[in-house]
Amino acid sequence: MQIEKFQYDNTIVRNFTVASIIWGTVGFLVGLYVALELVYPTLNLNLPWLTFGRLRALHTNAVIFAFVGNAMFAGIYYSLQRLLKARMASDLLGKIHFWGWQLIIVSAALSLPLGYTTSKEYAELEWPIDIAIALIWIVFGVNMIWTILKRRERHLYVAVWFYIATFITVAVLHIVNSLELPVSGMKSYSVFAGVQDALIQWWYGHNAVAFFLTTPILGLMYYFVPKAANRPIYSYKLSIIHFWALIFLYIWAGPHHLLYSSLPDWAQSLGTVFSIMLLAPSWGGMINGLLTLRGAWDKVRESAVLKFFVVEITAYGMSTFEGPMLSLKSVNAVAHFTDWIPAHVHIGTLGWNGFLIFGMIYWLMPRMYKTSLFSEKLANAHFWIGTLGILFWALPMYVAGFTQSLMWQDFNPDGTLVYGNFLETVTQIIPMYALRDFGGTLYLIGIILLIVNVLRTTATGKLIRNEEAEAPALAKAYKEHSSEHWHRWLERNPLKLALWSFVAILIGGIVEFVPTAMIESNIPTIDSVKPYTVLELEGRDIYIREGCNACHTQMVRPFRSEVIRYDPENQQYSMAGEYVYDHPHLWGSKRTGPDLHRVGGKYSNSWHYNHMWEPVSMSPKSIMPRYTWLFTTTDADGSLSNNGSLSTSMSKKKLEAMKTLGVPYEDAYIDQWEMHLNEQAQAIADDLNKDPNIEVDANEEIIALIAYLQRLGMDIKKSGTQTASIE
Amino acid sequence: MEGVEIFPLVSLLIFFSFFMLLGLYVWKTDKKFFNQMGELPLKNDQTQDQ
Repeated sequence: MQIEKFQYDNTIVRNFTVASIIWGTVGFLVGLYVALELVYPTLNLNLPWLTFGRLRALHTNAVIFAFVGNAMFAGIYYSLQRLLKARMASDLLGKIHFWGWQLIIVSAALSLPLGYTTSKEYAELEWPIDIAIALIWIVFGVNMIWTILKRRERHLYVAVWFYIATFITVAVLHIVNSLELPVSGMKSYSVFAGVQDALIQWWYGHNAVAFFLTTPILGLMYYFVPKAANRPIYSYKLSIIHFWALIFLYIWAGPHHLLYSSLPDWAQSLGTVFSIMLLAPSWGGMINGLLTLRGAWDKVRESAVLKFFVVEITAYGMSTFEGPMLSLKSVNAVAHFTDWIPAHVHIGTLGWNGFLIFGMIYWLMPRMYKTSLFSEKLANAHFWIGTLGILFWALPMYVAGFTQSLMWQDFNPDGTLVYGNFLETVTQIIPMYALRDFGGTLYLIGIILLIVNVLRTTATGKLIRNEEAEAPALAKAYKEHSSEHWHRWLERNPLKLALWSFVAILIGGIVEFVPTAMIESNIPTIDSVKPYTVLELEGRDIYIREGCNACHTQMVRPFRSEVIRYDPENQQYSMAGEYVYDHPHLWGSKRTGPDLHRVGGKYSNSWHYNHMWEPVSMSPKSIMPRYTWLFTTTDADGSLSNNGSLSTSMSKKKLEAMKTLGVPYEDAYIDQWEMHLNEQAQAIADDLNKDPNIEVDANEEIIALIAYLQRLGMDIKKSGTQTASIE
Repeated sequence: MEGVEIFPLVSLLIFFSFFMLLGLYVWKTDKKFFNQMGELPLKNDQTQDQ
């Protein structure tokens, strides 16, 4: 067999690593900032670009796609080349991938604070950026698969299957969830509405966790933990079984984000059952990772890298136990919409993702620079500070979650709510938010220690840009083992492995989505529910722009405590048929503020006006920021200080787009859109101007937002529909 | 849609048979092969391990 000489590309690995560190720091800073805003609401400095509603998405996108994303690519490019004994097939594709990805991140950093958002979690970026993501993702996949085809190691190690599954599934998830009809250069509407949109969103959202934050990281674990511990993975057999089980089961778990919502019951049950089953393959991964260290635990004492790996695998085990538990309806009833959920998320992100990445960086950088880590002590310090950070982040949030949830459900003996004012449940947990901020600060300090350590390490070494390697070329003919089984054949055939992974991940999505979309009885029609007026549609888009769904939900669950709080008159929980014209849905995931699905008619127009101008004027101690830019204001000398006029240049296009998506707007209505908009706006303005303290023009954005808020839940009041028995 | 109950039944069947077959394969395969595969990441160390 001829020995071939070639070189591994380390430059691309180094570039992705540096990008991950930089964006990670940015992402953590933004996270800390928005977390501080919940304790000090004036931190947004009365600027629209710095509100929690707009910046939350910047934090999530930065840490998921920029921090973990770049680190994932670094680890994949490093390990893939060495596992396949081949250089990446194309240096050029690698460069396009790298620069394209960073450009996407920069466009996110610019567009999100400016309010260009789809409102869909972890998919907030508008359609032109979505297209860019798809293209760059394909570049990544092509390079990866091409490299696999050119490999010199015939059998694909388990890490590689995880990378393949990641590539395929993320592509499917991104494309389907990003199906949106553009209205303008940076505005689009989801082609799905209401319940279907929610299901697609959380099929995507959960599997973004599964196939962006878990499978590639498992792949990295399967490479870097054995390397760092210098021993093979505990059980290769286990890795085969848990790989297939994981990718098969994960897809179905999406509905566990929608328990006790208007999603049909059968879909909720599927989500629960599959989430419980998911515990097994996830723990398969954890067991494999931890037991790899059997007999090497003394090394953990000496090595910061191994410490990071032990904690990350443990955090993985904890979150993948907690997740299935949270998928049980009884537990979910307490946890959903509270801070328990972010606590769960951050055990996973700070512990599983963050710590694996830190361990990988501390292992990788010295090797690529042919030097030793500048300070093992500093790395150990990072480990301890980071671990403390995780604890201070999560534990207060558990307390906050339980506290708020129990307060929401607390009844007096006479059947009234003890905490009828939602705000009381928020002010109670502010100290917990402050503790969480301390935790976040510790974690941020940790990455700063990493930066110092890495900078000093690289200063003492020199990057081996192209690492010499040699390996025999792959024999053309392959002598099969006498009784070869299909899995070994799959391991030799990457394309077929990819295909069967594709089939496996599609099944869950199809089984859950097709009946939801096609069977009318899953989303019963409510006659009184009508499309939004043009003014209300504009108001809804302001709601989306400002990220109101980051703090407010629109899903009253079928609990007595909820219907009494949010709909005391008619006591109706939210029904599937109410959302049929909601492109996209705005159910929300978190109640930092109260649910708004039945807010229509609850407060006067002037209440909303004053509340949006200065929330504490209507709700003392509120942590909601001011939205003064929705108002046209003048200085004392009469000069314009803020132009809050509603732009109606796209109103007609928006109606037409909605009509294309199936919302039954009449042509006559669309032609007369301006008249309808002005009529409704003037009526609201006239009502507001009756108040001697208010002076407002009909064309201000606040009018549109008030119109939208006053519409929420009004259709159902007209129908007199009685909901069935409440659980 | 009539007979949607067939969906979960078919899914269960697919699942069950897939994992039975997978389990059989894993049980029957020669241990040596798995040991070799487990060693893959450790085999190609060009640089010094710390």
